[in-house]
Amino acid sequence: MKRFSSILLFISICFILNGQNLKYDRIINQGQLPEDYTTPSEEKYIQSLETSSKDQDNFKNKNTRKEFYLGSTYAIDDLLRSGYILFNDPISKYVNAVMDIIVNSNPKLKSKNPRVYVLRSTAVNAFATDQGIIFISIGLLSQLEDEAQLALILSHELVHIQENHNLQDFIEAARVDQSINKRGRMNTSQIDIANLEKNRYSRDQELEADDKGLDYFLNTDYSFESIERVFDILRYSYLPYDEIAFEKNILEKLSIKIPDDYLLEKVKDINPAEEDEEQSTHPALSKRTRNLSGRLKGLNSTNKKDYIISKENFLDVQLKSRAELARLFLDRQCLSDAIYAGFLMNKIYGDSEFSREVIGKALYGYAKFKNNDLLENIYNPSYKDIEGESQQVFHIMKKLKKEELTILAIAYNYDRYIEDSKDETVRSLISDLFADLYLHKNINSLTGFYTIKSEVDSSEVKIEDKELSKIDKIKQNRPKAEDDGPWQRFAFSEVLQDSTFRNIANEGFELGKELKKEEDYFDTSTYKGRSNLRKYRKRLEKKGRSLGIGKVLIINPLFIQLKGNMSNPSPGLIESDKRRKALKEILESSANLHDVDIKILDANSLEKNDTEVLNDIVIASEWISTQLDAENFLYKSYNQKEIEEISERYNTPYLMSVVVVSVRQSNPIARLFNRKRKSLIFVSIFDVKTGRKSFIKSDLTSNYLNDVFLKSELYDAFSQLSKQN
Amino acid sequence: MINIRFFILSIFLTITLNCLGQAPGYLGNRFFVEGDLGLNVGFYFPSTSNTTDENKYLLLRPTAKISANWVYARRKYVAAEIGYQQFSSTQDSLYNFAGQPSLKYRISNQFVGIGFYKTSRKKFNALAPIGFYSGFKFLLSKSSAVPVRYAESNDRFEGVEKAAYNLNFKKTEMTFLGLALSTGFRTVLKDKFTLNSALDFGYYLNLNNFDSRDPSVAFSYEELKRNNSLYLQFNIGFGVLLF
Repeated sequence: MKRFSSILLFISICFILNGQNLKYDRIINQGQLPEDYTTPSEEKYIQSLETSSKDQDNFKNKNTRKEFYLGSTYAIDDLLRSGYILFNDPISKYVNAVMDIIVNSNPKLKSKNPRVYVLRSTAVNAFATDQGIIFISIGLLSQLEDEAQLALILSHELVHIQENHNLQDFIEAARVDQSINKRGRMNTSQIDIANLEKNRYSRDQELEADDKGLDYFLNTDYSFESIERVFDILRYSYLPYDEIAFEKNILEKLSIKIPDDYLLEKVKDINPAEEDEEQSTHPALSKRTRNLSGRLKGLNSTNKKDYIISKENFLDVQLKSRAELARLFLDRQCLSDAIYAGFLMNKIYGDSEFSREVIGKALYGYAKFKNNDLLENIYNPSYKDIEGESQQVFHIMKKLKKEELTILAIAYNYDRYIEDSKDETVRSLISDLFADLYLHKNINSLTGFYTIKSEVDSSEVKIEDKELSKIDKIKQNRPKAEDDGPWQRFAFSEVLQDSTFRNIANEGFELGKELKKEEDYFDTSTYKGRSNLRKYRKRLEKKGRSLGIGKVLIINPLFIQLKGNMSNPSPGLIESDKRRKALKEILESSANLHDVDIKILDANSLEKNDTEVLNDIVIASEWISTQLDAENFLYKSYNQKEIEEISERYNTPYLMSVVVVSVRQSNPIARLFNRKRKSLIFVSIFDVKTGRKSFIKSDLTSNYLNDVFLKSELYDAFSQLSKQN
Repeated sequence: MINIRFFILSIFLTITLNCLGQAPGYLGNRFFVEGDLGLNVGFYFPSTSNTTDENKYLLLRPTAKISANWVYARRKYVAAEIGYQQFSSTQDSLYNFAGQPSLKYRISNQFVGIGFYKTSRKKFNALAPIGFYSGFKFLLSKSSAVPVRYAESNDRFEGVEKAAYNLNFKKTEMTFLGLALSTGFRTVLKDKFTLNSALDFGYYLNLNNFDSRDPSVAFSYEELKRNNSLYLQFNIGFGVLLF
């Protein structure tokens, strides 16, 4: 029987690790929305105040208590509704199951009703809140080695909840500030002293959580053999979840060969920064490891297990987390990291459609941002700052010139297109890259690409053999243009005659031609371009835009009401909430006046059956965010396919983003005389199909945006939206 | 006459064509009527016939006006206004070469005007009709003066003598052309009403040539001229958005 189980386990692991079958779908929230989502923030805040008022001992200062609950309730709700949280999905279910094991072994923990949400973040982190919620990041889950390590982390966070650490930390910080403030206005050195004092308090809490957390952990049946490595995982958390030497051939598709000198001879040594405990809210990891080892000494681990739920389940969650991490790198525009993540998936789980998709999209994105000189809009650190094997990717991406990278991305994605499902979205990426070649490198046909490298080589030999003419000598001695090394021109040798390839290329060149025409129309280096731009701006000022749109999907309208001192404004949480509701009403009435059909997807007013709506909001928000990074060029976001599905479902290709920020000074006299900017209104429209965007309103103004101004502005926005050209 | 027709036609066409463009107004309301009450501060300068007068002073004149406003572009609107001012003014005895005492006149101004305004874009990004605005206006003012009593020595000329004196001084009228720069702030209340505060700075130009040998008429003309020159006017207005 035991043997049979082992075989079954082996088969199931093989199945999980079988990369060829790995077609990873995005993890989405499932089932009904938890109560944490559907209860309004204000209600939660009042409840927290009522509950806490029974326990007056903790609060010397009523205002501090109010401030804490107000800030924490709204911050947590914002996080929950941001789309960065997962619930009822396989990962969350598994993590909650592990937590239940700990809670069942320590029944006193049940009183706080703890629950875990998975945070869609690349950071390696976990934290607990006063509401009994633990957040654990995808980044951390992708690095953990077994279930016991996960249990230890959850035990640690459960102590923070059980001991009300957040609240105590806040009160202590307020006490420190208050005691220093009594001595007068704080100067820099006093602020430093205050921070050190707060950090010390926070470190003490962490040590307490380590200590008591281990007690909770030891009450379970989890083995403690691997848990000491948790601190090593944290120490090296800035590195990817594995260190495998990067092979450039993973990027080389069709006939492309990246020159060897694009790889570093040796990658930078892994050398984590020295821990400065004084400046940190957490104790030094070495100290924590020592404490843990000390406690574990002499303990017997018989009958203890690394996995209580199951190893297969853990591996499945680990795989899903790693795949989600790769997606998150694409979403956060950490494109070099995404390429390395795709490479790791390929190496660990085998070549798969998913790993190819990640690399293909990352190459496309990097090429687009490089071609448009907007690399500062994506995460693009110097390769010199990167440690470990992933440094090679950063180096290659740095070395690849615009044309080389674009052609590399085309070759990679064309291979995907042929190998995988002949997906139209992939096709559109390729033609978009060809358009970039036209726009930025003036390549307007495939004639500049060589069919067979040997032909060119032989012709070069022939030139050497025969007597050279003056022209031959000049041509031969002419230095090669640095920007256009020839190697990439052989990339398409094997597909140059394919009709599909030629068709896609021609589509791209046509698109490039069209875009070039538009670019030239407003080319400010020519008199005509400047004149056209002037006329266009004048027309905009006078008449506005005429977009002729009849239906639009509004994603998460946002109103941020800031208050207090202009130089240091603080968010008015309750006010923002109220004004956001007013904003929605104004949007609806303005749309009505122009007969524009709108659908507002708002994460702040969800019912329990609105999980699908929340998923749509997450995808749309991420899509809009990457579109905004792309500023003024056409860009297919990594989740293009998903956004197109959403747009079809809501029956409109147009998405609208509305952001209003308004600062209102508390002091009425200062309000009258302050000349600093006070409000911002940002209304933009995105065409999902074409990628075109139009910023109807992007005004930074001095007027306080009361409802009258807001109505006027939004009425105008919808007027421009609906007006036919 | 042809020129005036051409002028009116041009204005009409400009406004109509602009209205065909994008002119949102406030929630689609482009036409509003506003009633304004204001205080006009006239700079009362010595006249040409009395350059020795050093008693320059400011004259406070209550003003009432009604305007009809039409938002014809996103940030522009035009206003036609009609208004009335009534106040009294004292003519110094220095004018009275016949040795007569100073006179007090009741002066009334009736004016019509047309103004062109633009809401601020740079600092206060606002769309007409709300927000800060600035503009200019042309005014045509008919000003009339009636002497009402002696300003000094009330006990010297009473009863019959005063009546006789008033008979001699007839109502005098003059026409002025005014040009004013205007700035202000307007907001909307309850999506229906407008509230406006404005400041005008203007100048009246005399369009009449008078040549009267009757000294009493000449005095009145002189007084009207003196009262219609530079002015500063504060207004508070309340209106309604009609359509």
